[in-house]
Amino acid sequence: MSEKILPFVDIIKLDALSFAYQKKQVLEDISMEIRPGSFTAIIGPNGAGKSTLLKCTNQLLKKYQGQISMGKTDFQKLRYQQVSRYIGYVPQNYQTLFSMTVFESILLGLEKSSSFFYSQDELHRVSLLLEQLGLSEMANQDINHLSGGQQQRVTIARALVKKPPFLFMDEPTSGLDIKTQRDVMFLLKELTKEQNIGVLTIVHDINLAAELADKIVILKEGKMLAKGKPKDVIVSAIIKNGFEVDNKIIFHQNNPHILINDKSWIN
Amino acid sequence: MNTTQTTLINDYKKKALYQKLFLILLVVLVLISMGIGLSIGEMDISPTEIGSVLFEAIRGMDPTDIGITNIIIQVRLSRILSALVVGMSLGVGGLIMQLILQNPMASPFTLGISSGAGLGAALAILFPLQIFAFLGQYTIVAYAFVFATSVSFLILFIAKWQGNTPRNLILAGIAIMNFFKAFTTLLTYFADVYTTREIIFWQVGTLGKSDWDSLMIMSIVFIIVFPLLLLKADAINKMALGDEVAKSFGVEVKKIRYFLMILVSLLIATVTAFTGMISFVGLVVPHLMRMILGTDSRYLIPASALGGGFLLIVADTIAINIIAPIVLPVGVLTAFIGSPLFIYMIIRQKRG
Repeated sequence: MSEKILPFVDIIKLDALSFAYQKKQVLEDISMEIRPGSFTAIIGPNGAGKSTLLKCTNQLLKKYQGQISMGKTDFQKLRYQQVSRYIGYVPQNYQTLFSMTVFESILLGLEKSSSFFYSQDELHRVSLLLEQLGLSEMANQDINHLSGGQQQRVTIARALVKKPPFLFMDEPTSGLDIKTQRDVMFLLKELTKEQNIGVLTIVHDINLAAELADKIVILKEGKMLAKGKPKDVIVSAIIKNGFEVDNKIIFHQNNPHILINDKSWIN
Repeated sequence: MNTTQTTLINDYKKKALYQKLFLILLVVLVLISMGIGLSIGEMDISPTEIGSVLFEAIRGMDPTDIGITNIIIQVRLSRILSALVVGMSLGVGGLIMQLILQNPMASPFTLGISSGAGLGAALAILFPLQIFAFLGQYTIVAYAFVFATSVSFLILFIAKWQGNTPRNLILAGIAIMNFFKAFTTLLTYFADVYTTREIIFWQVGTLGKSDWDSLMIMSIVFIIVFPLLLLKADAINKMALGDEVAKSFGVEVKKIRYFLMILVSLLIATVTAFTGMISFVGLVVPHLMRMILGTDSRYLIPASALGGGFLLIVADTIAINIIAPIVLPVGVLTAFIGSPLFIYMIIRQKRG
């Protein structure tokens, strides 16, 4: 199988990243690392700048201060095409106006620079991913007719088909029921571990994040409140500070788990 | 590779084969319609005669029957080839506009781009500026191009600031069309009879003025623009997933959108400069092709071109022969066919 040859794959480093949108500071002085093969979850209340952090890092937003780099490569100087070879991206929600089949839609994740038609190898890659993500049955269906969970898996397959060393996801399971949410996320974790893909994902459900992630980053009002292993950051005081809810942390199957103690709405 | 995967790959290949076969079918249809267009008219000419005339012409031989040769080569062939090139340009132009604006109601006509080109062309005839004299016969195209491009960018601007909804763009298109119409009416009001006829010609759209010179210019532009559009097919496909996703797949969305808009404006401006506003081909053909072929631009781009060519050849052949010896402007015919279809599409659009 022919692989796209990257110069090298190393840790993605964010150094003092700040971003302002129309004079409003959205991100302030964020420094962190994203390692190949690691699973990092970003959590935080609405408007904390989670999506912006993702979009700055994969250069969808370019006018940031600070530096995002891999080794000596400054990401800000790269063209979209070069960034796309490093980072696969799953947006929060997407819509296509015109219909297309699941198979065709995943093919679009491939980079076509030299040939007009798809090679046997490329078609094989798509069919393999369809099977791994349990989408074989609906390969010829219109993506607009799929359920939310299925559509989300299609988007993930599309981001993975190019075999990027990193995968960024913006709340990939928003709007899914708890079982589907878990199924998608754990399947994804298995797939990415197997292929040593570094994942950076925004997760809505803190308990799910604690269960899944090697590392959790908590954002609040554009600042980094905490980062570290789930058991080190999912502690009562930090959650209280970040999400402004009284809470109690218990351990469930060895993972930190939040119970909310908010009485402000009860009489 | 297991059986499921093999089945999936074979399914995809089957569809791709079907898409390619459909393109071949379109080529055959175009050739047949050209044959029919060449043979019927005020004087019916048999296919054998057409064959021998074309054979003589290609080999550079002296014509056996100069009268028939003249009818075929000078009158019918140039007109049919013009219909082909104009139809192809309008079909593919409409498709690209729908795709870059992500708006199913977009087309050169509905967005007012054709009317912009038409007015530009009319101004070139009425008020030729000395500084453009060096352009010679290309002056009209140049004027039309400037106007068409301006409208295109105005549309991009409106789409960006007022929201790219079908309703917004159609309303903007109507406003633009009306503005140009008012302008054109003003010109007509002060113009002499001959010029008035000229101006009306822009508004209806006809192939009656096509000759080998105009055909040459239109063909050159098409031959330059078409492969460039085809080269961007993959980027266009990715843009259908939304700007952000397309960027994350490595597409320079903004640059490509402007690049395509300029190319399409050039294409539309050129054919409109010589034929006037032929309506609805650019709107209806891409939709028909999408219904048959699906959304892959690698096939839709050539299909919309061939479909547009086919439709315009058929429409013009009908326009010439339906109440012969009177020849109708082909734009009247496409409007008669296109308007009801357009209304149907608006209704369908609303249902979602």
